[in-house]
Amino acid sequence: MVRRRGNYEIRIVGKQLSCPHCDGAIFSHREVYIDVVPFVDEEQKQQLTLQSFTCKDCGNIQQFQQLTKGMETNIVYKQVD
Amino acid sequence: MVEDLSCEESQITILNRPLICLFCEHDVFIPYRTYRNVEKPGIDVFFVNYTAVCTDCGGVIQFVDPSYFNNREGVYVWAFDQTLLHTRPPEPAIIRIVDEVTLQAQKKCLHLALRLLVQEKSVVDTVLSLAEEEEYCKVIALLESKTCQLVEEINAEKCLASVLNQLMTHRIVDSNQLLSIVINESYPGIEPFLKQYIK
Ligand SMILES: [Zn+2]
Ligand SMILES: [Zn+2]
Repeated sequence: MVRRRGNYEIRIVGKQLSCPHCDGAIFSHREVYIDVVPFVDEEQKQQLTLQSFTCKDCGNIQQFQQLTKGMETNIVYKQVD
Repeated sequence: MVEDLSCEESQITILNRPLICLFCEHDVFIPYRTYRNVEKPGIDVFFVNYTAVCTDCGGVIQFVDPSYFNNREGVYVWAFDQTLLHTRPPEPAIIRIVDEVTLQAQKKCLHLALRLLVQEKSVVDTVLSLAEEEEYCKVIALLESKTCQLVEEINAEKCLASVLNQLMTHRIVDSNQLLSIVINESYPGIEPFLKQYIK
């Protein structure tokens, strides 16, 4: 499991991520994998890779998929400690 | 209304309310059917939900299918509606081959379900012989008091679906129980369920 150590402020498509529960703006990060129900003809198990952000103050979790277009990515991390 | 969401760029409504991204307020998602393992007796039984990803910001919303049976109106309410953003070329016709065991199970269930309808005087007993002769279109025409219109080929499975629907509409069997058996167990479960109602 990929993990960035420390705490971050996150910008997603240019907008600051804040906690919908407590308005906090500092998050810890984990990459998480979610099993996708396979189609009948699929042998290989598929997984969805998501970036999970846990509010440092209240523990609320928000998840985003990393989307990249050329050199640009939707999620920008700024380490704060 | 749709039974399952297909994994494509789309706008989605749940019980007629559009799904909106909490972060960026866009309304286009790719919904994935995902699952979590559940406690016993959940061996091979998964808790299936949807994980929808906003195509604009990547934001994730997770939800389950809240479709339900409306007892008062006697109808099953499908919760989802989905508008695909890209129209697909029509899929090649799939020829479904039913194996012999399944086919026999379908016919057996169909026979039992029709006997119940006859028993409750919801339909005349000629349906039984029509079903034997695989005249499924005529069976459905009798049940739904319509004329036989051959718009599509009707096989035992489709006929069974229509008959089970009648059993629920006429409240001859417990709808919730029947639906859960159809979804979770299919034919081996339907047979004993119907038998218990036969006098
Ligand atoms: Zn918070
Ligand atoms: Zn979004």
